[in-house]
Amino acid sequence: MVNNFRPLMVSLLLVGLLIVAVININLLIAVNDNPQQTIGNDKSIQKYAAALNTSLEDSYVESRTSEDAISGSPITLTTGSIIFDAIGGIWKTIIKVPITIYNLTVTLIQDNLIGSQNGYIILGVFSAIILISIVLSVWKMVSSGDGG
Amino acid sequence: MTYNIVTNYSEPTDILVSISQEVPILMPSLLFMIVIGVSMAAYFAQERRYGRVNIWSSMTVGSFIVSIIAAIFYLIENLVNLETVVMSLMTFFICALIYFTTDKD
Repeated sequence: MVNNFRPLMVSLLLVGLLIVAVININLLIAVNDNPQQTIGNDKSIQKYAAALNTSLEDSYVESRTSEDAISGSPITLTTGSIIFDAIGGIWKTIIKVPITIYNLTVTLIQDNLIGSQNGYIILGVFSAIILISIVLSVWKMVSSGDGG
Repeated sequence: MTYNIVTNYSEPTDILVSISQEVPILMPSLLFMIVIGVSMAAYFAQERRYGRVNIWSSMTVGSFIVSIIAAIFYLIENLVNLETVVMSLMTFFICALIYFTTDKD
């Protein structure tokens, strides 16, 4: 089904973003109409929102650190150190997007559909399949030099 | 025991909520019917227009529309439960993932 790394990652991101968009539509309508309940009252989404807020604050700090590393004095920093610090910081910032989308989706499933003890086993198998697919896709991309 | 009649309700939404509380399968059935209806409409529209069909694209369209409808229904208290909304979102997730990752030619 999945032959390459790029389609899988792009699809996961696209679908995750659409799910975020559906939740956002719900919340925007709720802001205008002031209903009794919204999907934002769900505990899993509140937990996710708190985690996302912390994650974004960390990301902000890391971005500032990267910026300081790039714009730091060349006398005190070697060239390699500047590049590696900057790449590390940018990578940490970018990787938060897919992780956030994955966390939102999995948290919703875990808390609302399969929250029992057996549910965690199902979720573990589901996560393992996704992780193995991603690792094998990365390995294929590295070995063949083709991202798909 | 007193029976609820139409005059007991002040708003049309109350009637819908009352029916869905008496028959809990009603709203999930309605959403399922919308998924099937929209998916079949998209499927046959593809066939008529392009001559080629992709069932997963039709299912993706249907489940996305139902996800939005279910999320909006959730704003009305006691109409649908959160499990139904999450289930429709996960249906969309699975259909869209299969559609985007399979070969489309």
